[in-house]
Amino acid sequence: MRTGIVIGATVALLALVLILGAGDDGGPNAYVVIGIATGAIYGLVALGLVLVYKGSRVFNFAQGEFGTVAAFTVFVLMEQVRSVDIPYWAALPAGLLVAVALGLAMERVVVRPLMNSPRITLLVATIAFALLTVGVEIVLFLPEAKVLEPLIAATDASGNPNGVEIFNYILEPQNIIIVGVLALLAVVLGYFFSKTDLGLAVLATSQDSFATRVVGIGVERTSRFIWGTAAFLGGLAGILYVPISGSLTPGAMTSGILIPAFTAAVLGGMTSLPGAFLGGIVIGCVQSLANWAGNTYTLTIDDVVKPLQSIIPGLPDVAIIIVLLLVLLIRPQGLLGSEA
Amino acid sequence: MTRSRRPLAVVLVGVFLLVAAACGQKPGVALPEGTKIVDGQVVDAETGEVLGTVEEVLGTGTTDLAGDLGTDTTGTGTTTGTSTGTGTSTGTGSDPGEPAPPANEPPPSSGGNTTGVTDKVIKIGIHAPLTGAAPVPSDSVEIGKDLYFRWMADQGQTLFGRNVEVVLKNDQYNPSTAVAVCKEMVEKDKVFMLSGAAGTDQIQACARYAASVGVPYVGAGVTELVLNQLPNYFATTATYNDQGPMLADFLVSDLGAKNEKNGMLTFDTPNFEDARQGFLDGMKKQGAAVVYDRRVSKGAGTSEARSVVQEMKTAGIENVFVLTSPVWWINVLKQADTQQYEPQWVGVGISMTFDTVASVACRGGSSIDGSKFFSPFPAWFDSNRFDPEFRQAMNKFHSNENGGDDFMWLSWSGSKTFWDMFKGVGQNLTREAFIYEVERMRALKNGIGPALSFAPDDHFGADTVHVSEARCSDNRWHTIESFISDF
Repeated sequence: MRTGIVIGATVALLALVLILGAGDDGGPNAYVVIGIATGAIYGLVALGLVLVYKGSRVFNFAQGEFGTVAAFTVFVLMEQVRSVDIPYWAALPAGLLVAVALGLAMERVVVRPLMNSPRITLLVATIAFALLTVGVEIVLFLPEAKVLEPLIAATDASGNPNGVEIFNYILEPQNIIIVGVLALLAVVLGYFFSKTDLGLAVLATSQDSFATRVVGIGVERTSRFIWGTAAFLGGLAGILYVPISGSLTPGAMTSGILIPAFTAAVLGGMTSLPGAFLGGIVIGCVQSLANWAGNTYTLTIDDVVKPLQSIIPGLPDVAIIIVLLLVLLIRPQGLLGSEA
Repeated sequence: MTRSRRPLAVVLVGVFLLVAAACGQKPGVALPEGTKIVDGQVVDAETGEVLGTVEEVLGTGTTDLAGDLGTDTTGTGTTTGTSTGTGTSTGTGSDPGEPAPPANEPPPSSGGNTTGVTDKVIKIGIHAPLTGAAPVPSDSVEIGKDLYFRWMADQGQTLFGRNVEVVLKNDQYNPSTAVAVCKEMVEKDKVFMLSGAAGTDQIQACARYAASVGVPYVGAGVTELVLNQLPNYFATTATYNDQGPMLADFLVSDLGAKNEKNGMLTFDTPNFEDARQGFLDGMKKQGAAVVYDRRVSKGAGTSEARSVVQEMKTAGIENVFVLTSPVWWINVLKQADTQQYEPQWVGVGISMTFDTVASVACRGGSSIDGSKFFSPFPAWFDSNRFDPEFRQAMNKFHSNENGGDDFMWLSWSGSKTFWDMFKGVGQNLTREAFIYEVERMRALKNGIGPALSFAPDDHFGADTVHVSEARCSDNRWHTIESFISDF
């Protein structure tokens, strides 16, 4: 019930912005589209973060690197294995497989030995794992920008856009796929955790592992499942996002996406999968609309008219922090968060 | 900040002429036309034929002249305002430069700090972003860092019996890391001087540290903020402050931007402020308007890239001066391609004109095609036009590298400048003598980068650029204009 109200209120708010901006070429409508498109990417990474937190109460700072590793795997298969022409659809599962293997390795080597340690120890361990992974990426691939082609090119052979134009903004096919995948995953995972035995077992493990073990649920097995699934989600995010950013570099997903994704997860509620989806969209829209407002609205200081963005450096970041603080002051558990 | 070089140059030339006249220079004392001094011998500049010793050719009492030439000289004793010491030095095609103007103060007395200098080696430290937001390929830098010095050694050339050894450290594109590695190179590796070629904030941070411990710093010209206060810092490329007005001139004169919609897209860092202001002032002077002036955070990502492209497309911006990190510009180009937005991109600096940027951006679309950026060095593609020895050295030492790349090419150019500076200082190399002599060097030309002319009150030695154009036909930058300051 509450979930429906929050999602409805958010959608209504965005609709209001769209209605107010209708018919204005320089208005906010295109920026709402940009916000949703970019927010979907944040949401996809946030899903993995929430899943791990929900299942093991760990803030996983290595989530971004599952994506970078998967993207590099696809890059290697498509660009560097010259003897065989491997298509994207074949390279993608391989990338996901490597990401899952990395997630399982992390679970076995880092998480499980520290499972009974304070959570802060585990948090630091995930940071260390992320840094180690970035280091290995640098050694293997050098810190040079590389190109990963999208699933569907943004333009056709004659240079015409393949995407869909909404409010004067051309949404590329790759981003449409991300929005679709995110929506699908939010629903599927929401169902999984509320309706299936395995999903309930995961939630039970996160709340009381001893009691869970007593009733016969394998804690190690659920832990493997959680980290493997989180790595799968991270890998999917990386493979889908990197082609949009234009370049692939070591640590790309950690440096570019992880922080807004964490913010999205906290905003949505660290325990809510639909919340991650919603948080990503809200963060994306706040960021984008702040960009628009910063360049549209002006202040006169000492008789000089200045746009807001030149008066408040980093306006989008400031806007995100303000929204996050407001939401957490009103609802400390986040928009859709609750105890698991 | 505005610096006035021309009046200073006129004054220095005037002072030099007065001093030369006061010295009673007689007819016949000047070198015969088409000759130069190498290893104490007067040689034909073109054929290399030895014509005799300085004394034989010019008569007695000419050691001061040899000293005045500053480089490619022998001579004993000290000559006011120029090089000191004894010994030999050699050249490989670099222009040794014009006679330096006399100084208002005496040269450093004997003694001084010789850390990093032995009879055989001059050890220098270089910091570069091998990782971080704008990384340069470590393999290329490793090859390029001492390629020129190896080539010179192979040719039997030395700096008064010495060669140069390079210590390279990763500053991670982070100012505090840059300071840490520079400190390490000074204190642990005991380098003679420091250098950096990429990363404004890192160059500024390391140069400040170097100043605090009296170590010379020779680096790329970036911002003038703070750096213009450092007695030990020497810029070997034109600064942003110099390039801003030149870019405005280029936009209006060559690209017809006077009556077009012009924009500016820069990272929001104080160190880009002089570039921004220089460009704005230049455009105003040219009678052209900048209707879009956008600053973005250094941590900008895809969201900002999408927003600025949408803003510029909606505003109909036709020419965009971009001063950001290469990785974020690639992101902007990607979004511009998606939105079918293809303005004329222009800019200044170094890192944008590496072929990697063109290669990656061209793969993602065609928005970068035709972009025109100032660069302190010619494109690697055109390296043979400027110094064929680079490819020869690559073929000799790294034949499997297909002629190298632009990082190696840039390193080659920088090394050549270091060589010429050390040569100009002379055998008695101390940190104090290096700073003293370099700030009196004039028209130092290595044939690749800009000619350098320093003065005690002006350590920003360069004022010309090359113009490079990105071409997606071969995913590379090409040099379209060279050694230019007026358009």
